[in-house]
Amino acid sequence: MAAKPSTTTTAKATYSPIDPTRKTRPPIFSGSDVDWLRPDSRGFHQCRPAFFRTGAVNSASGSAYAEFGNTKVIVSVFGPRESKKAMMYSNIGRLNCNVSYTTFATPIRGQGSDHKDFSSMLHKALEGAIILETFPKTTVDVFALVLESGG
Amino acid sequence: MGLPNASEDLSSEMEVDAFRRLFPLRYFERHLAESIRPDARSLSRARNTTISMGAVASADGSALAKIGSTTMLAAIKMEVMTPSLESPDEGCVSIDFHMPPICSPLVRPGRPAEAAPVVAKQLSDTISSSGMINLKELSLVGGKAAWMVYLDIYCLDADGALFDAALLSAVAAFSNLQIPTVSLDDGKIVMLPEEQKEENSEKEPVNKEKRKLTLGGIPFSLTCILHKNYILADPTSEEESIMETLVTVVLDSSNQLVSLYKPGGAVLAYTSAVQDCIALTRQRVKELHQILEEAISGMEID
Repeated sequence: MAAKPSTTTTAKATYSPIDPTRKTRPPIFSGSDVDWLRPDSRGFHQCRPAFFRTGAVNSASGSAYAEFGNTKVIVSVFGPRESKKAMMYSNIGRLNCNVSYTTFATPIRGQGSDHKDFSSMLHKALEGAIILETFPKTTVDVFALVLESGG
Repeated sequence: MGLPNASEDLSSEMEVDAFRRLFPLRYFERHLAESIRPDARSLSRARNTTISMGAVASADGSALAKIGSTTMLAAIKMEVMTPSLESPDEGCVSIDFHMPPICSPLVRPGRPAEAAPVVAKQLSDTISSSGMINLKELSLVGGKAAWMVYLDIYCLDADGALFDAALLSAVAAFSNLQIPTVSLDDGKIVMLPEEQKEENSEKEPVNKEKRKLTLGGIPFSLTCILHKNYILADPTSEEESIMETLVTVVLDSSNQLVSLYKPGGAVLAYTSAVQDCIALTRQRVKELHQILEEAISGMEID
């Protein structure tokens, strides 16, 4: 969750010295080759090596750190707990997902903000996996922080 | 809360965890009377501290600092700006402290944590007043271009002593910082890609020599809790929530006092308490300095 920058001077316009147009990427489809390799020398059907570790965050009920090649994410799960948002009684639980990026996740520094599209995709993906009837009236919060985004 | 006699009787029958939740202050005071804390530390001992440099590959400098469970990830990205008219040969440092919702059950998405702007302000004040960074080193082309250093610190796990861990990670990130070589290209500063260094002789790098910042007095800090006559060094978040009087002392590597911060609290700090805190901090500075040196030399071997 990005707090507003607390610089006392007015926010200056800065630019990154990295020039994105300079890098000439080789075209991926190079003619009639059938056996070509992807830029990171993988085959079509090869996935990047994955790494998972649970218990990354002690303050959370559950947490994990996951890496797929250059994409690194930390996730914490809190709950089931009472939620200020859900005032009405409901006999099934609620799932609340939130995905945000750090400012250094992209090569050029961006605004580390929420990504509502990823949050709703995560919600849809997890809905099927959680038995909401087992925790009525409470909410489970799933928070993800993308440390580095490599695809 | 309730009759003191009733709680004394209950405590012998109740489970330890329940007693800890229901009567936290009594639970801690029972331990303090034996000069020990629930996690078996002595009152003046800080938790295990580790620093790991270069945690973020895409950043110009980064570090991950852990004090016990409190984890802070600091990353530095350098961008180019035009310096202001009053100081045409100085760059600028912008420090941002974020507490994302993963770090603690008390932080909600959409509402920044209460502690975040406080620690952010403390950090930027401490770093600028310690004189660690010489802003003149950040200048590229006098009056036209200078570096803007964006330091972003993310709290990945909040378990007390947030400022200490944040300051440690910031200092480690600055020690790890490699300024990219850039050259002037049509009035704009462009980064030189590594391969073209020998071929492109017309693009002279503007700052071939200055790749690392020289750091002045490096600040290190220790937060202590004052409770009745006890002074507890390096509190966990449970201790901070029960006993609310905190004192943070920042010393630099030559044991000069950089800052002393005591934001209110029920306990008054008499001279002796302040002197004890400063003595504890002095010991801690030696430990932290050694840990930082080991981390830096570990990076250099690689």
